Amino acid sequence: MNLAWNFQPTVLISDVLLFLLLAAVGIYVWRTSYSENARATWRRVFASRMGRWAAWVMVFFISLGVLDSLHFRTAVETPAGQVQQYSGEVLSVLDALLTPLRMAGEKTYSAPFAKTLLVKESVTLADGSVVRLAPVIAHIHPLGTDKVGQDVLYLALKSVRTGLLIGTLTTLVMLPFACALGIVAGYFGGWVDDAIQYLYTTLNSIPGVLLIAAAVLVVDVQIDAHAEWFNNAAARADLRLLALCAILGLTGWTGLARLLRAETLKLRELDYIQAARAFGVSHARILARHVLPNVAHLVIITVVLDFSGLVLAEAVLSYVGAGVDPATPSFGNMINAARLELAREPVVWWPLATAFVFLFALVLAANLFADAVRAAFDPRGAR
Amino acid sequence: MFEVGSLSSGPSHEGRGVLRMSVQLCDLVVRLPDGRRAVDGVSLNLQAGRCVALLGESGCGKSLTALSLMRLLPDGVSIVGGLAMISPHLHTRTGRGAAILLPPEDGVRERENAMVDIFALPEGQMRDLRGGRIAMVFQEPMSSLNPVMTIAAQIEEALSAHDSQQTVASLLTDVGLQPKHANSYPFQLSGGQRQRALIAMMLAGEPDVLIADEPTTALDVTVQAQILLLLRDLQQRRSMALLLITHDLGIAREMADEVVVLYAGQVVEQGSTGNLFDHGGLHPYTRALMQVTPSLGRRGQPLLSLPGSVPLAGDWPQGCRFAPRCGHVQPRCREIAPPLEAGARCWFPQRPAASPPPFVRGSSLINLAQGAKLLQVEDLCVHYPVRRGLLQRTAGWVRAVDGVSLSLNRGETLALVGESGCGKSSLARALLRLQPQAMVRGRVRLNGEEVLNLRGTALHTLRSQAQIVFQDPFSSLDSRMRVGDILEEGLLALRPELEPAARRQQMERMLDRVGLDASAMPRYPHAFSGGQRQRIAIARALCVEPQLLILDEPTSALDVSVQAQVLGLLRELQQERGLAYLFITHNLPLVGYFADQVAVMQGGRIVETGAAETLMTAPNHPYTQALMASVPRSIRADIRTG
Repeated sequence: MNLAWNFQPTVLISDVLLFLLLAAVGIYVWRTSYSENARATWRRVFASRMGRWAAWVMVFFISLGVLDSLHFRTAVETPAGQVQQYSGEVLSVLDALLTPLRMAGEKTYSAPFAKTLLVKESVTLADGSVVRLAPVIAHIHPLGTDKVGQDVLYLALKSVRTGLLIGTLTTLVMLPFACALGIVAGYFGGWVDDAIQYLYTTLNSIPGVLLIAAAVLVVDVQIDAHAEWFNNAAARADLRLLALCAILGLTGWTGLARLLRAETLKLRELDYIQAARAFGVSHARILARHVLPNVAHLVIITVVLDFSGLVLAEAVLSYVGAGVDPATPSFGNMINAARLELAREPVVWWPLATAFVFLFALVLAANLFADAVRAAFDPRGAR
Repeated sequence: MFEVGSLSSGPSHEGRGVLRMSVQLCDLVVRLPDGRRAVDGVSLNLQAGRCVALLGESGCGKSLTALSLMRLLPDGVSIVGGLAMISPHLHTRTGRGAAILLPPEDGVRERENAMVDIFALPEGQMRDLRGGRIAMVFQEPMSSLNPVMTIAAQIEEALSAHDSQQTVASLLTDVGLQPKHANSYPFQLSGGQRQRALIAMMLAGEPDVLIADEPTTALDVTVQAQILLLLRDLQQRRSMALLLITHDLGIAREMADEVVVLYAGQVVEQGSTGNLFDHGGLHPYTRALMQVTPSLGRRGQPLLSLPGSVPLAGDWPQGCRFAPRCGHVQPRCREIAPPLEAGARCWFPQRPAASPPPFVRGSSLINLAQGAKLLQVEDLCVHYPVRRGLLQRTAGWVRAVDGVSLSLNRGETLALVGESGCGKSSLARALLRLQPQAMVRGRVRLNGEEVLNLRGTALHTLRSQAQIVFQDPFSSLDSRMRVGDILEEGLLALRPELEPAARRQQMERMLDRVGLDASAMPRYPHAFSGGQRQRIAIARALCVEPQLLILDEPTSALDVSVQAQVLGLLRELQQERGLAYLFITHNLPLVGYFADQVAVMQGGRIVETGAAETLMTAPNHPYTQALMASVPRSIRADIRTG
């Protein structure tokens, strides 16, 4: 048996995007290390204790996401002489690291650190009498198990990647629209402003969830009709996730664009913009050098606040059946399942609590980090 | 209300038979959130029927002193020392709170003589005091009035808060508004009317003490005079105490009985207005303030140069706080802080002011350059379209500038004078082709070349020949760019052929010329004071070596001592380079000091032009005469004698 390679790396589209993003950050860091000013600014970010802590929490979450984006398929036993076959199940490095958690499945719900399942079963004793008792479980689950007996801690750790992807990719799709259209509308005014305003007013007038759900359903139909595009379920779920990010991004830029338009309307009358125009500086340069840096604080604040909104939007969409693939672990799916779990007696609170704590930590860390970045880049704060 | 006869103590004023409260402020200390002291031991005495002017440049602690009396300091700023004593029997005028205020064991006699400290009052009683006994008029009338309430509704609110017997109509009449204004909203009123409405609101509680914090700074000159007259009239009629905060010596001289000069959180001089202005001030700072104010009388002389600016709160030098800027400083001044004695906080008061050397006018360079026409404007119109309806069709035009003709020679200064809204800024921006939305017609020739239809490279040439310096040095520099980048921007756009080294050399030369050095380049604008920022703005404009500099109220956001520095710099630059200035301003004494030619603008038209000296002393047009009449009398006298 040929086991020279007992796994095969598998690359999903979202993995590629994630690593491209990391590469972009890497290039930025590399370039920063050459500029004394930029280095000093970033040193200020990490000089504050809050910024340092938030950065460490972010690094923890991001490394979870990165480990979860290195996908592979394990080899299955193939009769000799045939082409090596690989399992249809796509695993990640994170899965491999968390194998004990992943494999420790139970039948159904169990509370954190419980020794028995939550539900009682009828058990026939040796003397033939039937009693109802909760079966003893094999493993300890620090955060309990969910309906199908999966470890909640494992689910939560796996959900981090989904949350990060939705937060960052959606933002990446949204930002160019919001910044370009918002700033251009505010700066040029006139018919440019009118056209852009009509566009986003129209988008805004359609209820958001309906628009997104409709778009997701259209994409779903396409995905279902072209099963041959995907060679495994993970690729399919991945495309669905990407489609969701794109749709959220394409519909979500209006709020930020409106904010930026208003701010730019104010900025363009300021004397320093007038002074730049008196020097004959081109419009593109004024937009890039004067307007964009002066609305950057709005962009940062909005993006970070939207981050949590996007993860929650995913939960709402899962509720109407238009969210990520139900098989994809995500905070949205966990929160969505909690609907029924909270209605049970006794209440199953731990999946929701876990999702809440993880999401809270992620969003809080992102907020504090963004705050530290904003403060460090604000020239008025620097002495 | 108390009758005069019913009380045995306190000042009395027969005028209205009402006893007015007085406030004695002793040793006020105000601390900023970071622990620095912004006001450091200020004492004042506000007596009924008297006006005290609190004089000083920004950052001296004037406004914080006033806000402390109202106990309305901004968050984090706190009163850490001092007393503000008021007579308590008067405090209970409305019949509320008497029992709370005074312990029951106090005898009647004691009650009448006892004084109560405002700073120790509970917040509930403070609310009665504010507006009821002490009222405050703020600088900006638009933001002090609620834009969605009518004037009557806002005055009624104040009336009911103080159980006042007065009516909206009587208050409006008192401040010179007509009854029809009662149902107007603030935006329907002019700036002066708004300030009057605000004063009416403040009078609703029949205050004993009125604090006016730069009440006329945001208003046009002609309106300023009316509001000041109104304040003085009201103060005398109602025998109130008036605390007038101002940076304008002319206003203080006109209005006040007593002047208190603040510097760096301390009273540096205190005395009756007559004395102070007669002897020209005991403290060198007071004297300097009087000498840095430009006027026609000082025409041709350099203004006294007071170096530097007011130190930031807490960065005060050891010894006398004015020592680093003082022209008569002695070793002792730098070591030991002088006490406030005989009206001035100075070890060596009343040294004779050194007379500044006479100003030599017309160097050879100017003569060379002068005479040649640089800018000629003929029949310039700037009209803004008014758009209405769904399709935003142009329904009409606002004629901001309506047929203006001007001409300006090399090396000369043409002052464009007018009140806000007269179109002077629109005119300046149109000259620089900064009005894309407006329709601009007429002929503008710079160096004989038609400006209004320039395109491409020719427009770039114009931009390097004509530059602008704006009023507000805080909004004219991008706070997110370093000074070096700010200076470089114009060079990059207009002189792209320059090598980086040559650019840097040019920038360093200009920074050096305006009195800064190359170490400023990597810093952000916020690290500089207002005057330094205005120097940076001037350096930025000069980098591209223009021949015409449009100065849009370049000193109106600056303190007087800094204004003198900037004016001196502009003068020197004009002599050196033969620059022509189009100087836009509403400050008439400044025009008299600085300009060669004057054009007075009203409603988009020029109503009068002429040489500065002639026009300032013998104006012809009624509007110019009205403008001149609004300058405080003391300065006017100065203009005549000068």
